[in-house]
Amino acid sequence: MAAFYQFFVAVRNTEPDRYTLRANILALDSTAGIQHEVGNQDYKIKKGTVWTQNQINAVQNVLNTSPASTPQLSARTEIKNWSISQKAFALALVKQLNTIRAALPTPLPPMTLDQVLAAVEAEVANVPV
Amino acid sequence: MTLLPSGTYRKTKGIIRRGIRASQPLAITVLEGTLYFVTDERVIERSNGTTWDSYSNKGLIEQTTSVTGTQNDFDLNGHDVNLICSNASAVIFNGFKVLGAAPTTGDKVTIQHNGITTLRAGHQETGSTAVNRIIGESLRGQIVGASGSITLIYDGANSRWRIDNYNVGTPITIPYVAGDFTGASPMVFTVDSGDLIAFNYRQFGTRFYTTLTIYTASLTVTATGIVWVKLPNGFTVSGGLQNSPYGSLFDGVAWAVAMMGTNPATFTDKFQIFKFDSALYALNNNNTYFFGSGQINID
Repeated sequence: MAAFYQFFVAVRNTEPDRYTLRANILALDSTAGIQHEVGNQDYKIKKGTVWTQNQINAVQNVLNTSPASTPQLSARTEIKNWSISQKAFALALVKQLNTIRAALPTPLPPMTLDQVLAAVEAEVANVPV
Repeated sequence: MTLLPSGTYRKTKGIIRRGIRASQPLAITVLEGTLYFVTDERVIERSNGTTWDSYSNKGLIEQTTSVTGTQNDFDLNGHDVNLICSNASAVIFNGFKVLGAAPTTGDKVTIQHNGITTLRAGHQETGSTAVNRIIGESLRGQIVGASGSITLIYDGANSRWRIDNYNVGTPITIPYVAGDFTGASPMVFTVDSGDLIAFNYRQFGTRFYTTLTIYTASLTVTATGIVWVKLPNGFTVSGGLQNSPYGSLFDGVAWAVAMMGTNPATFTDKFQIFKFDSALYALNNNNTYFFGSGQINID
């Protein structure tokens, strides 16, 4: 597997949110991987094809503009990466709630697991820190 | 002062050794059972009971060398030597003789690694004459990094040097070799040279400690739950299954606590890294990360 590395220096003073940065980089190239040590601005990005100048510019822009790491973004990342067992726990509760929702005088539609996880993620913004 | 033949100084049963030098007390003044300390007497030679050789007026001899590669029957300049090695590349000592002859009980050498690569004392290596060989804890002897040292003492009963002590020195960097990293079949684990951020080890006898950091490696084809990493220096694993905490890993989907272990039924020259819950890896391109340090027993 061919590997092509490109070095970057992010023009920013904050540490980007790791999950968002990775998602943004992968959106540019699905074979990309990031080498970075928290606390400095150096990045080495690896991918499976030769780098073009346009790709370099696009990655540089992502590095410069991805949102900074915050407790809320980290919490959302954690929720996105809940384990199967955690999701199963949530799903069991959702099923019980759906039973109740269906039995209400005015029945409510069932909720999906994805809707619940999205709702949990949205509540992150309402948690005081 | 004229040095008399060695035999003159030898303590022989029934003969009182006194009055041979002018500085010693006269025989007539020596009282039976009294120990006399003579300040200007020097040790010129010493005997192992059979032969005499020079003692150079001191106990510890400092000897320097810049030899590299495999050294058999390396000749030491005394019976108690501090051997300072300024080797530009790796050096392996497979045996020592002393003053051109076979070592004798109690002979001692401390090998100081003043180089920047590695220094190893080989275990029972047959390149050296049998009586000059070394017995270590590990079948691969003892290897030390920069600033390390190994002390050997000669065991006359078994006619071998024995590793008495060692300082392992700085961690020894393991150079990148693509074939050192494999996935449990059929999974393919690809680590490119730019992915190997840190890979080094320290050997404490039969205990092997390693630090391994990998960024942006790949896991492809079909997922399994193990990646294998080859041991350096020809080490082989000891005993059966082993597990120890290693650190963490990311396989493109989620972070996981990672373990390090061995399974000699599969490989004797590799250690494995797997998730704490033995779950399968997720396949990915350039999004596999390993961070950690672990330890296993080696032969």
